[in-house]
Amino acid sequence: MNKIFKLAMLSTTATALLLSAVQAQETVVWWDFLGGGDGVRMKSLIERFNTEHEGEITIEGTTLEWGTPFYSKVQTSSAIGEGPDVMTYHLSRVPLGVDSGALAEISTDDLAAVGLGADTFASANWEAGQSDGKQYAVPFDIHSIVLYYNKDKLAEAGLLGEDGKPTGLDGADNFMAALEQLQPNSEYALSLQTSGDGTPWRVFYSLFGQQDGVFLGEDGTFLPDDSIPKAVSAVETMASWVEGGFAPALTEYEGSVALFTSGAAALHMNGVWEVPTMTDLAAKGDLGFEWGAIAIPTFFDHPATWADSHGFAIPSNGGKEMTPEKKAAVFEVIAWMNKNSLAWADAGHIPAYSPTRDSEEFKTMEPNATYSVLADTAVFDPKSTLAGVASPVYDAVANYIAPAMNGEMSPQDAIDEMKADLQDQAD
Amino acid sequence: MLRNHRQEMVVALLFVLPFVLIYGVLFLWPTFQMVYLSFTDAPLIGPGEWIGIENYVEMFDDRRFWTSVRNTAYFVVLTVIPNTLIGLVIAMMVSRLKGWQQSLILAMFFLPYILPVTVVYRIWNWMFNVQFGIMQYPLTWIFGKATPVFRTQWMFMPAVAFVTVWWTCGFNILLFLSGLRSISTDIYEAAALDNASRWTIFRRITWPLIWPVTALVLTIQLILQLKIFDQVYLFVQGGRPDPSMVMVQYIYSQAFQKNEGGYAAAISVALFVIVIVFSILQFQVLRGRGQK
Amino acid sequence: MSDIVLKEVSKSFGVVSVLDKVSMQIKSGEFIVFLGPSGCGKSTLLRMIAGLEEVTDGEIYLGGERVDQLPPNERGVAMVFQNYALYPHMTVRDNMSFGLQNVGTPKDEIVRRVEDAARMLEITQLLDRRPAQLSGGQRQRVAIGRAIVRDPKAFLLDEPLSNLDAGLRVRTRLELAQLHNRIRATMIFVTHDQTEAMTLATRIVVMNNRRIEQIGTPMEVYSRPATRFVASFVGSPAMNFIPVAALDDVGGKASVTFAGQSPVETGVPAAGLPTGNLTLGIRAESARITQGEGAIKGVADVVERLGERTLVYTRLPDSTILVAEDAGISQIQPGDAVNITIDGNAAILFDESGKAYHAAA
Repeated sequence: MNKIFKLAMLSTTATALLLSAVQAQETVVWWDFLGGGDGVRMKSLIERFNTEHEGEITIEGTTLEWGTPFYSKVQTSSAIGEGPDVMTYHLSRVPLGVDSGALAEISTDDLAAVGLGADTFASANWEAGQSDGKQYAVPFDIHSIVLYYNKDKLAEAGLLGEDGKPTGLDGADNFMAALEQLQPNSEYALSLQTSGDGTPWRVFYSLFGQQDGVFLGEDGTFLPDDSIPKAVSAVETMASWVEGGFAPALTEYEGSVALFTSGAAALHMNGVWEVPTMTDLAAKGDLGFEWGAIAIPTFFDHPATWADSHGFAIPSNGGKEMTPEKKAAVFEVIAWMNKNSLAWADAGHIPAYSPTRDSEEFKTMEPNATYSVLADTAVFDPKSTLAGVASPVYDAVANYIAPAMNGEMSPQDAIDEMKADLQDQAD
Repeated sequence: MLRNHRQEMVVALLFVLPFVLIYGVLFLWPTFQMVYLSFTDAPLIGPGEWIGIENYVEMFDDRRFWTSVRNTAYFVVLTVIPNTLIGLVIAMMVSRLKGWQQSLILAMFFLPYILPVTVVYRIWNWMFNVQFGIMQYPLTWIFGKATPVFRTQWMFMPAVAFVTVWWTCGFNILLFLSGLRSISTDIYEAAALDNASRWTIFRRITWPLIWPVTALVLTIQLILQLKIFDQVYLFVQGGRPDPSMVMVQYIYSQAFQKNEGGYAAAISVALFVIVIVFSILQFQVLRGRGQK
Repeated sequence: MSDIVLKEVSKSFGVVSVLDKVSMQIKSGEFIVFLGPSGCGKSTLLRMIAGLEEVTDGEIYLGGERVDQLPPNERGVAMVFQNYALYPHMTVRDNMSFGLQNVGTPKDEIVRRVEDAARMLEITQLLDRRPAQLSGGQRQRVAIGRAIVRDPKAFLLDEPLSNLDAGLRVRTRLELAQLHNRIRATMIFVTHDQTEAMTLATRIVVMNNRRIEQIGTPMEVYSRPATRFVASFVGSPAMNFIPVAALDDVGGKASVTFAGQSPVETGVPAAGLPTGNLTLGIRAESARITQGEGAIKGVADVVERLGERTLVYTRLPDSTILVAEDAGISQIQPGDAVNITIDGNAAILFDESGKAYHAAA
């Protein structure tokens, strides 16, 4: 065990002891939106927490549906004081959450008391939880999209390097050439979600970021003029995959995953949160091929990948104050989760808590290590009340970028209309 | 006598009071609140500042609002009359059956109506599924390739309308059937002796006599379909919400996604007015026809 | 020609038989009444002639043409339903025109025929009303009018008077008789009311239990009923039925003894009477109260004074009740001893199967 980790464990125990001295049994109501493979990991983390805090704190967890359903529920229940004590929250959505009054401010003193603060997180990550200089969310992880690959198919197509990792995928033209080589042996060379929001946004924002595109200018303009060609070429690239028949048209999230796990697709672009799905299938021997994951290739000028963070937030609950005991319990939960986030890395994510991220255990963890570079090249969602999960920006992606990917709209029109639509909503 | 009269008034008031109270608290007050809210910039929950007719001004300029009005109208056109006619035709066929056969067939047609909308959505999402859906056999035959119906813009509304008719026509069949049963068999026998052909019997006997039921079904349908939300919301999941956005869905997105309670209330008032105007208009027109 | 012939017509619903081999011949212009209790099959028979019920077996001829397989509209008959079956959403004029419109009669012809019929039935002022705005009697006329305008080969009327109140029923009955006299069309009228049958019919078809009991003129049915059922169903008060205790042959005529009384001589020929138990049938008007010594002695039990006559329910010594008739103004009080004379020529004997034996005509 490494030193920091030991320290973390010690401090946890110390806090726990301290807490138990002053309080009786506390129940912390917890809401999350983690329904997939990562949800299973989260549940076992919660179980571990409950065992370690037996007689002191019990987390009562509820999992709701990801996206709009979760955030609508949080918004309404928080407004009337019926929200949970703590919940997972996308940092990309903090501006919208603060603006709509759903979130309670988190005192940095309280955080410091449990050993969390600006110095325990990467600064961009920490600040993503802020609005107007006040803290509203505590980061838990950084998650991004990666390129999953079917090792067997890539080997057949001669796309594996000497180190056993894919090679020659960087650059839009090279990537296209690779797709052409992969296509004969697969139903689809590349599977990705091509309908709705989610993946289309994440891939678009990555390709856009690789050209230093600006989605929301300082002056509040969406897609300033010089960024429009960049956005268009990002969409064109995505559309070319579907148009060439390399990627499935109008396919939803679940379908895109199934295409890869069933071996019908050689490559798959999706979030790191699907790592557990692959791990579990491979462990049960149900996958039928060897898989791997690498960072999204560089199509344009330089590496860049969309990223978002899961964090913890406390609902404003209509201004209802928590009891000091409850509050202490909630902060203990937040701190414990961060300090034990190595287990969370098992769900594909990159831990936000720096001591965990810098630990030897994490640095050797596969496939995370392969794509952990993306933490340095991450581009986070624009900070706007219109952005973030289940936001108008996500809707706009479903309305314009997804159709353009499927050739139902020209990329130029899609970007023009998206800009007009968002600008309209912002003004 | 006067005292007696007053006493009667008190008793009468006492009897209607529970209804008046419930009606006032659960309908009038919220309606009034909605109208009031529409003149404020309130968020989803909580009070807002009075801003006059600003919301309405914004609404008239709002592209997405007009899209939602158009889509709602389109959906009404696609469902109300077809649903009514199909209900009548099936009811007429069912009414020719007797005894347990009639019960069985009627139950089969009514079954979808008792399903919750989410189940209906699941069923038809599978039926139309591009890879496994059974509906892809006819669709492939027609279009030459598998067709993602709920992801193809021009097919979306007609397909949702089709599912809606499948889902709800059982109730209309039931209404029509009871209407048909109330027409005495003597009248059909008299018409048969009067040399009326089957078409004449329908046109001159059945149709005019069933007209009150038809008018009722049309009105119920109109109000119901103007308020369309669930099916469109469910089927558009994972697709493009905007081009097929209907009014209630837009209210929902403004209120719950964008936290614009005041603006959502303004759209609600618009929908409220549309429903009232159209149902009164339709009722008048239909009643007029019936008295011909 | 619009005579109607039924040949061994049978009807059953599944295994339930409702008519069994019914045959009759109806001449053009006759007013035939199907009379019988409910459930005897009379309405079914009418509906089979109309074509509203299928014929299970047998043949129906209308004006010489076999029609039992034809749809109702091709038979050329018109029907007046018990509840009139007017089209509620049409005016009286439209109700009456509907059938003519359906066969493409020219418009002016329709107008003429409707107005003629309306005039005949005195409903001209009602032509633009709807059925709901009419009284029961007016609806009845409209229903008849709807039948008349079509100039049918036969009118079929299914208990058309049963929904009218008593006074109106009598009046309409009379009008119906007048109408028949005027248009001389073949009419078949179904009723369970023997008075209607007696007053309207040229011939009555008495039906019971799926069969025809007797076909005859009203007077034949009344005075020479073919069966005990007919005797009991027609006439008011009902015929007296008294078990015969002993039978003697007195000069070729049957003389019967009953209820411990002296023998009564009937006009029924003794020859040919069966040996089993017989029943004496005698109508009240043939059992008259006499001042002198009559054959029958009893005690008045109930006295019904009907004005033009008095009915005396007489208890015979063995408790048998015999309804006898007295003059309209009668002194008899309940409890009085009475003497009764029986008109032997009007007496009827019924065998065990109900078959009637009459005095020679």
